[in-house]
Amino acid sequence: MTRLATLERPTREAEKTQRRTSTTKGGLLRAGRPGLVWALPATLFFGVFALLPLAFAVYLSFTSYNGIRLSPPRFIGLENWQRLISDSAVGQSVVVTLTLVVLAVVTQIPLGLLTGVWAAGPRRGRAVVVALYFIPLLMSTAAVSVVWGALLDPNFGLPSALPWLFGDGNILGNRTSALVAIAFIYLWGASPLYTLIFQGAARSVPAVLYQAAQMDGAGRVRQFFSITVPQLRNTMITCTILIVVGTFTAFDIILILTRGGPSGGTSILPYLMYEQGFISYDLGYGSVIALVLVVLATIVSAVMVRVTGYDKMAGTQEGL
Amino acid sequence: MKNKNKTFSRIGAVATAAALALGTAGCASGTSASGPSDDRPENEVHILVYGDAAASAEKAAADRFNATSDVKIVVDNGPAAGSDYTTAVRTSLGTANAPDIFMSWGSADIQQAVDGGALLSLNDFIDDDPALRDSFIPTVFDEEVIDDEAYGIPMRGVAPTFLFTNEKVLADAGLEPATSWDELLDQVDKLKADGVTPVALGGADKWPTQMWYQYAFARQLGNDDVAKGLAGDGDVWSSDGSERALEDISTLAGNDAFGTAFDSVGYSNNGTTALLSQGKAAYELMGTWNYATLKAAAPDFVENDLGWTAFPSISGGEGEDGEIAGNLSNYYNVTADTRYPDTVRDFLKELYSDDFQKDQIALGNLPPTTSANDLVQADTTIDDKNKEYLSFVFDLVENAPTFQLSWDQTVPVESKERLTDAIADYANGSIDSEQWISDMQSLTAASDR
Repeated sequence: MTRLATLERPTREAEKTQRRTSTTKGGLLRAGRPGLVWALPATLFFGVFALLPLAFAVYLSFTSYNGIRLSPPRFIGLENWQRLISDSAVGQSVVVTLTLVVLAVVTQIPLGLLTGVWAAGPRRGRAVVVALYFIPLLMSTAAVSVVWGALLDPNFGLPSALPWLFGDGNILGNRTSALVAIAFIYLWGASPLYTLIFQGAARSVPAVLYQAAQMDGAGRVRQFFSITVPQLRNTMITCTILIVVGTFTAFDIILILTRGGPSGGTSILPYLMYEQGFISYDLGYGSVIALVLVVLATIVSAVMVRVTGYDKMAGTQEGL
Repeated sequence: MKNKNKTFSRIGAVATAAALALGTAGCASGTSASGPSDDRPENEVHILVYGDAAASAEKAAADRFNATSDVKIVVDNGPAAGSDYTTAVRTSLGTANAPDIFMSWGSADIQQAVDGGALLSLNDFIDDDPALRDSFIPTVFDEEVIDDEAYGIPMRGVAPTFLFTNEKVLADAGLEPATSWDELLDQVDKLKADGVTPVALGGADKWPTQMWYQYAFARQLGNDDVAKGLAGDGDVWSSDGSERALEDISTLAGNDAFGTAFDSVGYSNNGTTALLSQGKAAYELMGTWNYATLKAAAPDFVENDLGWTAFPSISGGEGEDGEIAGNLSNYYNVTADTRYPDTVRDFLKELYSDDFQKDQIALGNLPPTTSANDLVQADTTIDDKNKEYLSFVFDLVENAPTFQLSWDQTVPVESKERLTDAIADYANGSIDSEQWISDMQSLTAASDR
């Protein structure tokens, strides 16, 4: 402890000096806390590439527009929004989207956590295994989807080789199994990223904690649940948010593998939006679905920020 | 902090207002596209080609034309995926960047562009040169005639659907290709007993499933009624003939003629191609292009064991035996504000020239012209099997009393996806015939939007 305290002192000194110079030179009101100018590039970027299209989507949602400029958007009031209420496909799509989000979180977090913590261990063999495990992360999702399509073919793929496991192999032709298959492919493709994040976080857990726990007679499992997991809490929250956001906008694998089928069983909101906008060329209604997605994602992230305390996130290493 | 928040909300308000202004400005700029436009490139006529391998014939035609023309045809490579290509064309229509000439799939595909005044009626061209109409098979040409105005000239291969067979699988089971529906149903049991999938079906892609409906309905109702139904006559879908056709489809699917996992099998990933060519299936209902697909995947199979036959007859149906369905052709359309209409007209004459047709034949396409079969027979570069195949397709089309364009190309674009969904859902049993009929009635009635 004393050593840590001495180490901290020069840092504080440096901070003070920095604060002083920035107030005198930069003329910013509160040093260390960037002002509006700092936020300008990001605000402009966000405004042009997010708010502007969003506002345009709101406008389009009250029109009928088929994408041909010579027949400009025609204002039709609330017609598209009324259609939303009676459209069972949207209800089903919301359920499918939320199911996929939940499936993604409950599979990717535990797997990422376990493999990440394991990979954080010092032995060299692990690094090799982990390197191999990262390969899916480097591959193009489109190519991967095509390969999975071939692997899941009932006559020539895995199901025909393992009939005891897959039955007649009707995996993508059944709503439940198709959604599970999609979740599995996302797990396979995305979890190495979370492994990487958890590995980094696990390595920063101070060894003294484990040494102390060992002295007190805690076993490996106890150490994992009482030290590792609490220490990685913030990492878990960050990863969960990344997964939720990523899954809400998932699209590529579904487009290539199932095209939303069978019977809308994998038609998540982004796919439904694409279908309305760019297959049916009903850009007005497509915009309505886009806005539903925005609202849903906003609610979910607001709730998550509240529940997890992400907004007040503090370090997990108090007292060290 | 409070002040800052206010500033931000003010910025937000400004941004929103700006967006709306931009949006309305965007609409205001949508002007009429009638008459030649000087904004277009000088001495150039641009074609946006569908960027697959078959575009080579179109590029060659442009080269031949450019040799003698002052105004040059410029070929721009477009995307090679249906919806991407259509989107690229759509978003450019009405701007100076729009191609002068582009490709479409039938009248439903261009209807909204015609409504917006984006396309040039080709009637004047045809008055100048009647061969622009008369060189083509009438059923094919008439598809893009809307309210007596011709908008498209057929250019790529005619693509009806029919049954492809694995002759070896059939022979091993002691069977001949089925000529009637009942015979087909009998063969299903025999083929299943032999451990093969009787009929390969790429249900994951949905549109192959549609092909079975197109024929069941053509046989039970006749294509004329089907056309009425697709144009919005709801009584067609609830008629007795429609019920019988649905019954036929559910009997076939319920008998596992397509196997139990057909919704997991794809055509686009070669799933059905492998089934048929590797002797794991006896039949596949597919379009003309399947020959090229099979040949690329399994040339030996095509040479030795590939067979084909017209769709079987169904006794008691109101349709005629020879009625067919599938894709008629693709068409070249011309934008209304093209700068050099005379050049465009002269270039379109290339589409019925012998040189262009020969290039099409070499690609494995049957040109949509009346002279196509003679050219096929005279061609020395293609093998006998291919010749036999193209003659079969030609006869099938020429002798057909009716040729129904694929349903998903016939209904208004906004109904396309709902149509293929209803078709897939009834075939796999997730909706019943009553629901299917009401879906069809509502989606075909949507054409007034």
